[in-house]
Amino acid sequence: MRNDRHHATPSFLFLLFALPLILGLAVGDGLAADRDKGPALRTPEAVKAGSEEIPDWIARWELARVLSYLKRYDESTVEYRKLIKEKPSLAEARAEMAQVLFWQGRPDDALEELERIPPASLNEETREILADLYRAQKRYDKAESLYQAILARNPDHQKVRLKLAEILSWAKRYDESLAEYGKILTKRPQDVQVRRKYAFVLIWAGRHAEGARELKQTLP
Amino acid sequence: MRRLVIVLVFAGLAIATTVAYRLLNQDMVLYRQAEERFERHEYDEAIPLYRAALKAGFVKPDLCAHLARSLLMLGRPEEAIALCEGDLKKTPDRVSTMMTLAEAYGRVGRFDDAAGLWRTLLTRYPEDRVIRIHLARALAGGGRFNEAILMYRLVLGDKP
Repeated sequence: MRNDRHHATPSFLFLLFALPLILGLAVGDGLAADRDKGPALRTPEAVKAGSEEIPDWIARWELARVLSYLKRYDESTVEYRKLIKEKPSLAEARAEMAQVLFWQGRPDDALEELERIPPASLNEETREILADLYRAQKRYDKAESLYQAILARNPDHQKVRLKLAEILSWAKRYDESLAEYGKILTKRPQDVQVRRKYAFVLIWAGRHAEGARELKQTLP
Repeated sequence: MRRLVIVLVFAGLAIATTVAYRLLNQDMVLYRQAEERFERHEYDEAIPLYRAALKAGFVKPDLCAHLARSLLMLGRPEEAIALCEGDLKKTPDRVSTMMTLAEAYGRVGRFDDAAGLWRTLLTRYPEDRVIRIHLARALAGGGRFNEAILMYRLVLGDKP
């Protein structure tokens, strides 16, 4: 019995070390053969494993954009509408369509589309367009809150600050308007056009002497 | 005692087989690790593994394309282009590399080169909608909007 065990030990040791090596070689050969015969040309379906799948609605969105680049606005809005019908919660697409409608000279349609978008989903550019549309309709309170929101994120957006200053003056809120003009002129003291507008608001506010002084500064 | 020996033998077999596999197929192991990371979108970890597999002489049709795509995903299109162009010199018909190279050309603004490659692929696979969309993108990127529109319409089944 003890002798049997002594005989068995070298066999086990052989199995322990030699067999894995044999197995490893066999597996290795198999894999090597497998990897060498890999086809160089495969169907695109297989190749696309590493490439993104592109759904139709993305293609339609891109088509709508490209059509707008060529100012083919009617066709563009048709594609946007098809897209929005398929993806009604796609705020970005609706905002883009609103921009196209705006460029097309259809501000009311643009406004209608923009008002359907949740305010939090509006990006800065779209928010500005919406504010401009409200401004054009003399809905200054709505325009003001949007301009303020843009300025809260980007205080150096002087174009928007100027629009805000203008609507405040049109709403006869002269002090607030002058404060905004003051901020712009601090950043752009050489801007003659802004200074002239500032001067007129001073005059509307009854501060004629200051207005005249500002106007004089704009003369060559 | 005999049972213990048998258990030890099987445990030893398992360990030794794994060690032997790793030693004898180091390049394959590297490739598999790289692929796992690629699938998990862990491109920064996949790249050195792909490179090591490539350096070890490992040959797999999609290795180069996947390495290049990983570089693309990390915003390194120039490296992807160099890699793909090198691969295509050796195997000019490799579709996966051609697709990745075309995408990389698009990323660096070489839209005409991209469109050329996508057209070549489309000639081979005229029914492939993804290739056609990529061609449309390349054409649009290069300012060839009318051609791009035609491609998009064909993809969407609209009448041009």
